[in-house]
Parts: sequence; structure tokens; C-alpha cells
Amino acid sequence: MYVKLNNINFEYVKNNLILDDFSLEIKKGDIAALIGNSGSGKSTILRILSGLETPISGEVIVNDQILFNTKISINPEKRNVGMVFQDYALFPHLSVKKNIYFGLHGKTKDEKDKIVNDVLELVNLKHKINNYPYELSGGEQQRIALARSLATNPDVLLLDEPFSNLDANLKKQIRKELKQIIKKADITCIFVTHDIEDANDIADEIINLKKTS
Amino acid sequence: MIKKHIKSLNLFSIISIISAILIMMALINMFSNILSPPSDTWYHIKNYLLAEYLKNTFILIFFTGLLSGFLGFMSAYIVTFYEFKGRKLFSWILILPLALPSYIAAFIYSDMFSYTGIFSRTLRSIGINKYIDIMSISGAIVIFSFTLYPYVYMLVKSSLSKNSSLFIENAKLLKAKPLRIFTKIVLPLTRPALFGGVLLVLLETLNDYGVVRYFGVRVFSYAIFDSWFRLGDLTSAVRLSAIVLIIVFILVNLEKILRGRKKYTANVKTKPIIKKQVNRYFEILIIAFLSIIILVGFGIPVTQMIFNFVRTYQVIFELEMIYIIINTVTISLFATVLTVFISVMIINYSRLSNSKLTRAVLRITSIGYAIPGAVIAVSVLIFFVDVDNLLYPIYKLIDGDSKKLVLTTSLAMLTFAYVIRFLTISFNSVESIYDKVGIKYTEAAYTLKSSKLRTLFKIDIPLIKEGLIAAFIIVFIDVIKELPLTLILRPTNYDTIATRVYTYANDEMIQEASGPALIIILICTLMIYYVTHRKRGGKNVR
Amino acid sequence: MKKILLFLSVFTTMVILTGCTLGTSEGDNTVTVYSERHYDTDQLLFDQFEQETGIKVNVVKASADELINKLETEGEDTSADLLIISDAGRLHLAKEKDLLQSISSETLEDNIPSNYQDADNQWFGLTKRARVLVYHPDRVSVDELSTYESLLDSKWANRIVVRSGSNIYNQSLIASFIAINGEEETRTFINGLVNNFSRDPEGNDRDQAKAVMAGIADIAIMNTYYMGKMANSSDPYEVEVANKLKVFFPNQETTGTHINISAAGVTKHSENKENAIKLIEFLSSIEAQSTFANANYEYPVNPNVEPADLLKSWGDFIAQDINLTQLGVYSSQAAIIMDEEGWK
Repeated sequence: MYVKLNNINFEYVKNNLILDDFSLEIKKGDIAALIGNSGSGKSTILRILSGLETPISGEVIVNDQILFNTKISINPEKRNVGMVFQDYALFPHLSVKKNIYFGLHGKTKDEKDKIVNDVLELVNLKHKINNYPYELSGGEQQRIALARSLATNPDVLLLDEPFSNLDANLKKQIRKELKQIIKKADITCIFVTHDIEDANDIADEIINLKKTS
Repeated sequence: MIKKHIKSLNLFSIISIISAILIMMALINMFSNILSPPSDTWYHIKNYLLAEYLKNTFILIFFTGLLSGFLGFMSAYIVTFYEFKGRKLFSWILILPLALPSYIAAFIYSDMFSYTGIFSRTLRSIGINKYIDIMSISGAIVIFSFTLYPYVYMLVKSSLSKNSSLFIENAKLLKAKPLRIFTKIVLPLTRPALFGGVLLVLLETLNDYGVVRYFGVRVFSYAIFDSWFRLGDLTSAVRLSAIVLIIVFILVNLEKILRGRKKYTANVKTKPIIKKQVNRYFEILIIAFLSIIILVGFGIPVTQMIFNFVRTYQVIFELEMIYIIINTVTISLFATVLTVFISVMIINYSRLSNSKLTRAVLRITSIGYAIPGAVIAVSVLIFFVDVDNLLYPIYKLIDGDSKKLVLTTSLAMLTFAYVIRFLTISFNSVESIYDKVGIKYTEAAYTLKSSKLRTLFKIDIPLIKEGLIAAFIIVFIDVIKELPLTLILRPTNYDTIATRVYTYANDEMIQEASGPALIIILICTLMIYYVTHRKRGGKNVR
Repeated sequence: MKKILLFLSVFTTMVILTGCTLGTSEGDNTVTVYSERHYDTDQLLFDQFEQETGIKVNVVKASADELINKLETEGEDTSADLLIISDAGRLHLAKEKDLLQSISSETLEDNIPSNYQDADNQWFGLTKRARVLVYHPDRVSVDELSTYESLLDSKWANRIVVRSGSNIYNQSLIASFIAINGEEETRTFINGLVNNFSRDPEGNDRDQAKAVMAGIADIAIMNTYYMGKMANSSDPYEVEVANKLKVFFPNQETTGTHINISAAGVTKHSENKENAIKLIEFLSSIEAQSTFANANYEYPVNPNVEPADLLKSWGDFIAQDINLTQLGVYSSQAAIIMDEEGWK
């Protein structure tokens, strides 16, 4: 298996387990949907995968690399995991180009330019390269955030509630676009949603979380 | 803000923990002196002086709290709810008294009220042969209240505008029964801000040494210096310091106790307040009231100083004075940058992890402002002498002829003390802007494989720039005005403008003191102007 | 980021550099003075000394307490060669703390009367100030005045002002009384004096004169030095006060007027002892003493030098006949009984 979570225990507050012995496996190249109510810990799973949260116990493995177990805990910046946040978190003080540049630290300018060009082409927003985030629509911001993550060439891409901030009438259209982009990028992807329709439309695999109580 | 669980050593945690340990050691070191048996001097102090110190301190903080609270609250209320001529101007110049250090106001006013001063002369010229004595505890109360009320003003004003929509919802009621609304809504809602502001005023009052020394008001900061220097007894100074800390502790927790579990801040979107138009008589009344506050707290003493300066202008054009100005600006800049830097480190540390250790670090590093300068000075000095004794072998290794007191005789000691004292202030402004920006950008940067340091410089700092500038300016103003710490901990022959003003005044040369004092006031005024007038947020954050 | 780092490193270096230069000792031909006096006159004299001898004078200025504390903490490390303080009591304190050393110099013996020197030759007086009665001639007739002790008379009730008891000049005044009259009598004196205060002590010496001018009191106990300063103030109204009020030297028929001195002592760990001695000798010379007298309204200690005209206009006076070491001996006792008898 490509992405593995084994027996994860997690709590924000002492003695209140959000995830109790939780396990998960996802195949390479699949799009997986995590579905559940609020409080079910579905976003927490993404945060654990990306390294923003540290579980009490368990094991996190991506692409045969151990990211977390009882001995090892790799910091988020050292993991090859991309994440698109619920409200995209585009850096407001940087242009679209600089936002994508940010994740390409260490590459030459030519390499960076090429990657920026490629990912913007992928999300079909090449003409917005010099705009600032606040000049973009919600859907455009999402695609830029996606492009920014893809640019770093992650092993797995995490999307936190990708449709919650969008107009209902745009939703269908965006779902379709998103699926196209992900498939085209040929990347393993996990996204979180509370809407079963989202999951049915896009995912190859649906994981239903029940709130543990 | 949800705290995150990233455990591992990094720049933030290392710097934070080191700072906390250093501060902790300095304070513990000093208070271990309490365990030594009391000296004869202590019995002397206890029998003859302690009661007076307690009484005076209590009177001073009680009435200063009352008067500064009144001035600050009223002016904030008026500026927020009424529309009148010059409102915009008033809303920022009401902060100006902060640019005038209390001790300078004390020097100038006592001169103006002395027999040869302008007030007494004017009174005599109109046939009133009355002498107003301001060098007394009541004089000190007035001086502190009028120079420090802006702390209350600023906090209450921002609290009033934050809770504005609640007032708007109650606008109808406001028309019907203004008094009821005032006591039932306005006052309770702004109470934390009012108490917070008054607390700051009182901490500054307890910290002051210049005013009470000059006026001969025997309160604790005076007593600490007195027993240390005049009676030559450090352990008694430490005992007195411990009593002050108890008073401070009670003050700091008083509001929490009174407030109990009630919550006074409602998280509602701010809407602009519709200000009430006032009729002409009321307008004149308002303007007169605000003008008096500003004139007493700033206008009158500054004008007098300008007159003095004209008579003695040579003083500040001497070569020595230029060195002093350079000294002052250098040390203030350095201490300020360091303070703000450390506060950024600690806040980053605390927002990325949440453990008992983090909370302890936060608490330790933010107690400085509550500790009066005299107490910090004593502890830092003892601490540095000990450290130098400890490091002496190493100094010897580096330089065979090395002296023992390397750090104690350097600026490091003063800088350290400034950082301890002003870290809290920097904290508050940096933290509030971090709260506003949130943590998502930082997290996004981490998932884009950016290291903590790179994220700090490329993402966090640009986003919190506004808060950093505010923190920088507030700390800078405080450092440049600071007197007791500088007086005790500066290296030999190292004068700042503040110590020079104090020396002149102590030498009974108020005229000559005016020039350098005006430099402090000018710098602080410019900074206040900048903070209140800068454009907010160029790019759209959030 | 680079800019910020550069900025930080530049400042760090600056601070370290300033720290280091303060620690290093200067070249050979120097003398470092820790002085409480920060008058232009003193600087003028140091410059003159430098010109005449080629010995460079470094001056460190701070309050007496600070300087003594500093010397104490610095110990052997001190760069100070000479300590100058304007109170005999404080110099005695420095001596007690073993911060000074005895020196022998014939020039000094010639120039400075023996009661203005430490008994062990650890410090030498440079200038004198008398603590006198300043009165308003319209309300007090000179015939009514005689001694400090006569101020206890009930007719002076609410008519006397003086600054705080924690002030060193008052502490030394009381120390001299203990030396002359003993503790019991001195306690009675303080108690009676405090009863006749017209207000709680506040302000500095000039403020006491101004209070007399204002009618708050009729007599102020203060230093001659500040009357001189006021007479030459940049504030014209202070000049008026100085011209109106009169100076009276008390105890002329009895024990003499209390005087205090500015004095200098060579530090125990001085590395330039010879230079330090040369500097004291220079300061006690007729030439330097005249400068002190004329420019700073202090009485010269050198009997061959005349005081300034203004000071002469107040008349000659007889000073307390005690060795000023006594001021130091009784200094802390004075502080304690002043507290106990209620001199705030």
C-alpha cells in the first residue's frame, strides 16, 4: 500500500480521543474521499499525514517511508506531502507566481519558471500569473493553491474540504475540473468532505468515518 | 487559536527556553537573599519606616488609579461617542502625554510652581499671595495621572469601538435612558479595558523613581534605593522588593478576582459607530475638558521647557550631548530590536507547541513589566556579578590580563534588564497581530517544505509587519524614557538622555535639563504620530 | 532577511565593542577620576592639568553612592585612580570599605589644613561649603539669630524649612552635632527642629530659599553654594531671590558653622598612584583653588586663596572645629536617629 496509517491514537484534550486506533490504506494513484460529520476527526487525519499534528501512538507510512512511529517523527517541512487548506491559505503578500515559487526553494530560476508554467497550464490559469490572491475568485484561488502544492511534486496530495467555500451552483463544474486536474497530474490524493455527492463524483475509494464516542 | 503539537528542538524553543531560564535565574538569585537573616537596618526600617512606605504607596496608587481611570475613560468615551470640532485631532493628541516622562513633568512643574516659577509669579502679580505646593503626595498623584492616563484612554477607546455594534443595537435605549445604558452596558463591557489600563498606570507608578525621589514622597521604589544606597543594605532592599512584588501580584489579580467567570467581550463584527452630534454649549464644554487634560499632561510643561531651552540652548549643542544622543539611540534601538526578536521567538514557540513547559516559559518571560525597575536592577546586578565570577576562568583563558567583571561593566547588563522589563509589552502587540493573521499561512508554508526559519522571515514577518512596527515603537518609547534601570545598570560614564536630564535636575539645573528632555519628547512624539497616522495594511491580509 | 541579519550583527558588534573599550585600561600616562562633581569648572581644571603635565585625565561621573558601589564591585579590577566626592561622610564610608589608600605629600600638607584631611591621609579636602541659615530680612531681624540650637525656640514654630533628612548634607550636619554635642542632645535638637518645620521636607536646597521668599517659612537651612548658584542663575527670578534673602552664619560665638567639603582620595587599587597624587596636588594649588572659588561659589580650602567676592560679601565665618572624618564616623548613626526622631 502506498499510504498507510496504522493504529493511530490522537487527542487534542487529555483523555478525549478523537481518533481511537484508527487505520487506513490507500493505493497509489487513487483518489480517496474521507467522509464524516464535523468532529469525526477527518481533518485531523490530514493534519497527521502532513505532520501538523503528532499522534500519541501509531504509525504513518507514505511511499514506503516511515513518517511517524514511536521512534521517528518527521517535521512537516521534511515530508513530501502536499496540502490544500480549506481556505487555501494563499500568502496574501505574494503574487501567484511568488506563491508557487515559495515551495520551489533551492531550484534554479529556469527550473522554477518551467514548473510554474507547467502547473499554471494544468490549472488553466496562466494569465493570472502576476495577480495577487485577493484579485482572484474563490475557485481561482483554489486552483492556485492546488497548483502551488502540485509544484512541489508531493507523494500524496491532501485536500481539506475543497468544496465548502464555493457557491453551490459552481460546485458541479468545479468538481469536474478538479477531478480532471488530479487525474492529469497523476497523483495520489486524499480529500475530506461532509457531502456524499462530492465523494461519489470524484473518489475511487470512499472511507466513511463514524464519530467515536 | 488551537495550539499545535510539534515537539522537537528548534530555534524558537531554544531561544525561548534560554530566555526563560536566564530571567528565572536572575530573579531567584536575588530572592534567595531573603533567606539570610535580617540585618539591624531591617529592624530600623521595619520599626520606623515601613508603615509610612505602605501608607504612602497605598495612597499613591489608589488615587492615581482613580484619577487616571477617570481621565482616560472620560476622554475615550467622549472621543468615541460624540462628534465635535477637532475630534480627529483630539483622538490622537490625547495620547501625547505618553511622550512626556513623568519625572520630567515633575521637574518642570515643581519649577513652575516654585516661588520663582511662572504660576506663583502670576498669582502674585494679580495680588494673590498664595503658594501652591505640588512637591507632595497629591502633587505626585496629579503628575502620574495626567502623564499616564493615555494607557487607560487607548485601551478603553479600542474596547469601545470593538464592542460598538452592541451599542448600536441598543441605540434606541441609548436615547431613552442614557445613564442606565452607561452603567448597565458601557461600563461593564469596557471594565476589563479600564482595569487593564489602570493596572498599566499603577505598574508605571510603582516603577517610578524620579518623581517620588524629587518630591520626597517615601514609597517603595524610593525605599529600595534608599536602603540600598543610603543605608548600604542590599538584603533589606531585597526584602522591600519582595513586599512590592506582593502588592503587584495583588493588583494584577484583583481584576481577575472581581471579574470572576463573566465574559465581557463579545465576538461581533465591528461596525462604525454613529457619533452623536452635540449642541454648541456641550461642544465647548467637551473641548474645554479635553484641552485641559492635554494642556496639563503635555502642553504646559512642554511650553515651559521650550522657554527654558531658549535660555540654555547651548547645552544640547555640545559635543558631549551629541555622544549622549548617539548612545541613547543606539542602546534603545538595540534593546528594542532584541526585545521584539525574542518576543517573536517565544510567541512562535508557544503557538507551535502546547506543553507545561511552554506555558511556564510564557509566564516567566512575561512577568517583567510587573516588576518595578528598582527590583529588576537589584536582581540583574547581583546576577551579573555572579555570572562574571563563574566565567572568570574563561575570561582568563581568552585574555590573561582580563578583568573579572567583564559583563557587569558592559552594556550587556543594561540591555538584559531592558529586555526583561519590556518583553511583556512587545509580546502583547506581536501576539495580537498573530492572533489576527492566524496560523494557516505558517502551516501552509510548512507543507510547502519551508523550514521554520525561512517561514518566519518569508511568510510570518511580512504578514505581521504592522504588529512588529507597533511593538517596536512602543518598546522604543519605553526604553528611551526609562530611568531607574538605566541609572543603576549603565556602564561607567555611559549617559543616556534620560540620565542626563535626571543629573541636571538633581543638580538643581532645571533650565539646563529642558534641552535634553525636549529631545526625548520630540522623538516620542514623532513615534506616536507615526503609529497613529500610518496607513493600515497595504495588501489585503485575510 | 539578509538586511535584518546584517542590522542585527552590526548592532551586536557595536554593543560588544562599547563593552570592551570600557573594560580595557588606557595608556600609561593617564589618571582616571571617579567624580561626583560634574561642573564645568572641574573639567576646565582637568584640561589645564593635562596641558601642564601631559597626563591625560579620564573622568567618570556618577552619584557618590553609585561610584562607591562601583568601586566596591570592581575591586582589584577598577580603573579608577582617584575618587572625588562632595561629602566628607561618603568619603569616610569609602575609607571604611577599604577602597582608598593613605598617601604622603608635603605639598598637600602645606596646601590643606589638617582638619580638612583624613586622619590617615586617605582623603584631602578641595573645596568647602557652609550650611547656613538663609532668612528673609523683612520678617527676621539679624539680632534674633544666633545658633542652630536656638532654632528650637517656640518663636520659630512653623517658620523653618529644610530639605529631606535622607539628603546627605543634612545627614552630615547631624553627624557633626553628634560629634560635638553627643547623641542625646542631638536627638533633642532634631526633635525640636522638626516641631518647628513649616512643612514636611521636600525639594532641593534652592526650593528652600524659594519657600522663604514665598512666605512659607522665614528661615531656610541650606548650603552657601546654592545661594551663589542662584545669584548667577540663567533664570532672572532666581537671581532676585538670591539678592533679596540674607545669609547668616550660625554658632559664631559657640561651636562654629557646619561645613562640608568636596574631597579626593587615591583608590586602593590605583594603577597610576603618582599621577593621582599629582592631580590632587594640582587641585589644591593656589591657581586651581582660585578657579574653584571664583567660578563655582565654593570656599577654597587653601588658606592662601580668597573666596569669591559674592561669598566675601556674606562676611567671614568660623567653622566647626572638628576633623571632618567625624562626619563619616557618625554618618549612619545620624541617618538612623533622624528617622527615629521623625525628620522625613
